[in-house]
Amino acid sequence: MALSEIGSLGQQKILTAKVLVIGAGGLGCPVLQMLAASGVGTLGIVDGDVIEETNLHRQLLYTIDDCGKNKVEAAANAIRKINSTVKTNLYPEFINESNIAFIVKSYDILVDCTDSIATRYLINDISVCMNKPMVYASIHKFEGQISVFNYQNGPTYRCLFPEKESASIPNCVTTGVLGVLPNTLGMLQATEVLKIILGIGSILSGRLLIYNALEFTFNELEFTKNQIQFEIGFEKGKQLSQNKKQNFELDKAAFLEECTNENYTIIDLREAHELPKLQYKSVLNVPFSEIENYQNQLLKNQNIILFCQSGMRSKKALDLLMNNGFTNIYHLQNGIQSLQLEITT
Amino acid sequence: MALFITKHQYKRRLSKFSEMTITIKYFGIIADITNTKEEVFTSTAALLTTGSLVNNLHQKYSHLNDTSFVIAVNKTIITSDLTLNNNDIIALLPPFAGG
Repeated sequence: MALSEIGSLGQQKILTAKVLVIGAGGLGCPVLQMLAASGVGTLGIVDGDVIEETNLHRQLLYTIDDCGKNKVEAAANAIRKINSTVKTNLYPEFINESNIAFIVKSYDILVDCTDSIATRYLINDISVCMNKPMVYASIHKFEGQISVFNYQNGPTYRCLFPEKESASIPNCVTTGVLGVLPNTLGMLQATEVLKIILGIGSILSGRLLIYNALEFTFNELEFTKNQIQFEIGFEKGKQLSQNKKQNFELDKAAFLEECTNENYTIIDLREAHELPKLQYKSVLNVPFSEIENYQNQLLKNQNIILFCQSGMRSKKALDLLMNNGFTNIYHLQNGIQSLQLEITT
Repeated sequence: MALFITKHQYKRRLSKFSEMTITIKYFGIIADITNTKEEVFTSTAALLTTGSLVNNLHQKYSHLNDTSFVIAVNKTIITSDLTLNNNDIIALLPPFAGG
């Protein structure tokens, strides 16, 4: 606030910003930490992983007590302690061709904190098609790259690295990484995100910064927009955005509407002590641990809606039942806590 | 029998045999393949292009053939073959994967 370049107008911009952080690992943790501390209004967090002990040396949002938990859940808890005003939307899954458009559409800025080049092309394509800037970083041993793609008609990831059919796509090799490296890159990414939100400074667009931690060198390379590569990204992005929205995710309005529909069976996957309770006739309480056995009492084509506290258990149960042939099954996105109901016993 | 030439002729002869010095920088997995961050390449060819230089490197480091990378000349990524000049700096840049 005290900085004249930011002021109260800047604070307002930060409060209304919606940033999607794809990957809550080495890069994602510092990005989330800083953006939460800065008070970014809404943070979407995408990661299908659970926390392992080997993550802890560099993924500083997590502690030893978090091992085994879903990264997005633990990240949200940590963010709540940093800044409780930040709204977090959790996506406990990996970005893929079917979910990317659906997830990405509500955000202004995409932060690439993934560890897969194939995923980066997906993020590029959707960012080009939906016209959102993509704040990119990637690491290899002691080196990191950072740039901002698709910023105000600037060059894209494909302009820099056109996809070649022949060459194999290298992926994250588990050779180990110095913990400080992704944290350095993540801080730089968070810096670019804040600058984009505030509209200040020069954004790293058309420029790739390569940082070498061992040599302590910074190399900056310039690159230009490639119209052909831009159009390839745009076309692929269009295909992604036409992928059928996952119709088994219910938002608050859809869920409440179906609750009053007698043809639906509503299953509360929470433990008996969890509140608030839903006061609809058709609600059954089947704790998550028992759903696998319980499914024999349900018909495969029965209309079923699952819910839990935050949407994690219900998503898992949904996947389980869908894999077992259930066809008319839905779940409440982000769980009952997102309904913000009064706590009544 | 001594061969007498003018100073001008002497300089012209020298330039035909002059070397071109190119610095090559390697990043990421390419630095792992070449086992160095940087090396100097000298050439007496009259014309040296990025294409011919990279072919040379492919022969020297066979694993480069399996690797995807882009080329920068004097800090600018190029999208087509370029003629090189003395003291140019080339970079071989692969995408990094990790996060």
